[in-house]
Amino acid sequence: MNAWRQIKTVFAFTLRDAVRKKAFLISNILIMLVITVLCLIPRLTGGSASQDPTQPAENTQSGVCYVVDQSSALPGARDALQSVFPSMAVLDGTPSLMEDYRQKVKEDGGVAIVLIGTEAVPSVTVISKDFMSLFPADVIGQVLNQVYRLNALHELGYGDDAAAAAMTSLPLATETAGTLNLTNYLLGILLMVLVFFVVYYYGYGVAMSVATEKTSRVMETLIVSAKPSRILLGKCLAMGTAGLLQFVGIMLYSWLCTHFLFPQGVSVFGESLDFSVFTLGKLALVMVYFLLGYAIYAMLNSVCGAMVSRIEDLQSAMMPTMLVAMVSFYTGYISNLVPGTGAAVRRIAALVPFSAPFTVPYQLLNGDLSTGDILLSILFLLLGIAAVAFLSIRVYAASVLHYGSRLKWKDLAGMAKIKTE
Amino acid sequence: MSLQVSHLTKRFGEKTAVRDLSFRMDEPGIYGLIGTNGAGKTTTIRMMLGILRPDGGEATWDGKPISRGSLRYGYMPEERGIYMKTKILEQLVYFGQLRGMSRSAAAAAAKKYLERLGVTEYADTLAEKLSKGNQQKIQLIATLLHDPQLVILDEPFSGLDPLNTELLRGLITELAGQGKFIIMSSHQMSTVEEFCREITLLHRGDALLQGDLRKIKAGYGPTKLLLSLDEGTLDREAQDALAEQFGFLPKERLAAETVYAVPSQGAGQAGALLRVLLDRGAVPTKFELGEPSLHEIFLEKVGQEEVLEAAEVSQQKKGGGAA
Repeated sequence: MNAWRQIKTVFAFTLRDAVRKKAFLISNILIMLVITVLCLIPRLTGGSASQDPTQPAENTQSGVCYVVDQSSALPGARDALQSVFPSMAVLDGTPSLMEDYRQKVKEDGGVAIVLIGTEAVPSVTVISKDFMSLFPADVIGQVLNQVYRLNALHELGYGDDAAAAAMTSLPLATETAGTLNLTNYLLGILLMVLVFFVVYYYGYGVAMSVATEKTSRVMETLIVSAKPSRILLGKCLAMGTAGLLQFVGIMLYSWLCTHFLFPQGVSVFGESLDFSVFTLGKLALVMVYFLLGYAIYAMLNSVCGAMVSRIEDLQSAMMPTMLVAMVSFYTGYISNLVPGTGAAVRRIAALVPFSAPFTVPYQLLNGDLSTGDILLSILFLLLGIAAVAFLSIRVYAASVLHYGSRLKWKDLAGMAKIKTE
Repeated sequence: MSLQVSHLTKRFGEKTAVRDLSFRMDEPGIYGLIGTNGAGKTTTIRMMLGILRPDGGEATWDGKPISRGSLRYGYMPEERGIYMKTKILEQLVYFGQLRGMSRSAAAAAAKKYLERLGVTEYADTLAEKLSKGNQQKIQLIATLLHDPQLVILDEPFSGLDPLNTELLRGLITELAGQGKFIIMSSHQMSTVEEFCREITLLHRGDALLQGDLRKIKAGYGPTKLLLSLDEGTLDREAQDALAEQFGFLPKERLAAETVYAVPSQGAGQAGALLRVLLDRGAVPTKFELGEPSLHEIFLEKVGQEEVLEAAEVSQQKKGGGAA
């Protein structure tokens, strides 16, 4: 029978089986929830980009705020705050009622006190119920600073225009000479972890699928219908597609969340994130590394699945592969993120087939990986996959009909020498 | 069409699982592969189907080596295996497609066999919800779905209740009638005896006995006399005493009859015994000279082999001691 047709049949059956599994649905829902929560936190804490504290329309804080100016040191403070927080009821407070205000704050998270001290340079204290109340103390501080300075300038005899000119803020922008910026840095880490998660999860899926077919003895029916190499390829392709679907789904959902929740852009630590750096070309390269990384680990995991006769033995059979994956991931992580790691280490991590899938996506965004190195890395990965596939198919074909005690790696080395169909 | 197995040999490390096995099937029918557990039946089948590489010899169909591509074959392994979490029709279609059928043809064939085996109602049921017997029927359908020319059934009746056994019996007979080449592997001698004209008896990888079952049995000649007398005409002690006079020693006493061992060259004495019995006024309700059953032949052959091996081991030990 036509090889491609059989691979396609195994592919379709395995993919259908994989995406119908509860684990697939639940993991998707959980990931979407996590992304939503991660996007909602900065939104709730006002993490959207281009926020100017002096612009009232940007501050949507509601509730009640008592301004208690103990020695009338900051006339106009209440009005200034009210104009910046139009949704909040900003009231003049009386120092003698401080205890009553405190009691209200204790009972209600929507109430706050702005206490202005009696010192020569008056101190400002923002009192809220707890850290969850999230009153924007920094914005309040900036507004009252401006009021103080404006008052001081007036007292010194400056007119409104001169005072306003003196109070003008200079436009500030930051720029770095290197390639590392916050967007690339965060996106790089996210991709590194995401690629590892999906490669591990779906590689484990391949091992589980092979082990299940073997332990349930379906393998004996399958193996007389199709060559082991075709079963293995169909299975790996299907699980890889399921992984890719999830990977693309996660990326797409993340983009949708940021696009709709932060139409004006996202800022983290006060810096705007610029996703335009993640070009289609880079996205395509990340996909290539994901697929190649998945392929090399899926082949190794299929051997682990074929080694066992009982599902319970799968975890221990997968330990060596897991160790390779973990070491490779941390090699990539350390070489990319730990300061002081040399360029040579980063280059080696990018060229070694097992660590390249976890290392290169980060370096594509943040590093100085040359086109030549990228091509060399892909070539090494392809050669690595070919070598691992060659051995895996042989071992898989020889071991799927082995029952009884779990095969040892020594036995597998012997099996790898046996020529298959 | 013909199936030929020539000098198949398989070794696993020090152990030889199958040694120089040969047999052939020149016409459709059912061939029996019998032997105890570990005799080498499954290894032989796997080598025949090309899923296990032999260390020597080959299996051919019409002179060409058997492979998935060269022959449409169906194999029902001894250890049944279907996808427990998948619906029956869905997995049957999958197995059919893997065998080169189109989706629609596989579905049509699956439905036909589901109906033939009385399990149509389970088409959309998960396999895990079916009884063991019904799961076995599904496995058989997966074996036959693509209309194979060669069908290999490994212990087809194990675990089936009498009703399902009868159903399967009918289907196997029907397949043989349709001109299929069927190889039935079993350690249930009565099953093989009922279906197979030719057999190979395997023991520890060696073919102890091969050929036409009728000829094999005929070669043994009558080995037992089954005698039953009408009640009250002659008591059992007197019956045994008379039989012993002619060399027939009691071997087994059943509820209604006694089985006597026939001495070699002693079958001719049966007529004399019958005459004496009639003279004594006994009324035989059964007087039958019988050939040995396959079970008896099996026990005899395997028993002899065990004795020979024990002797060989003992000889080796003695030799070793002398050295």
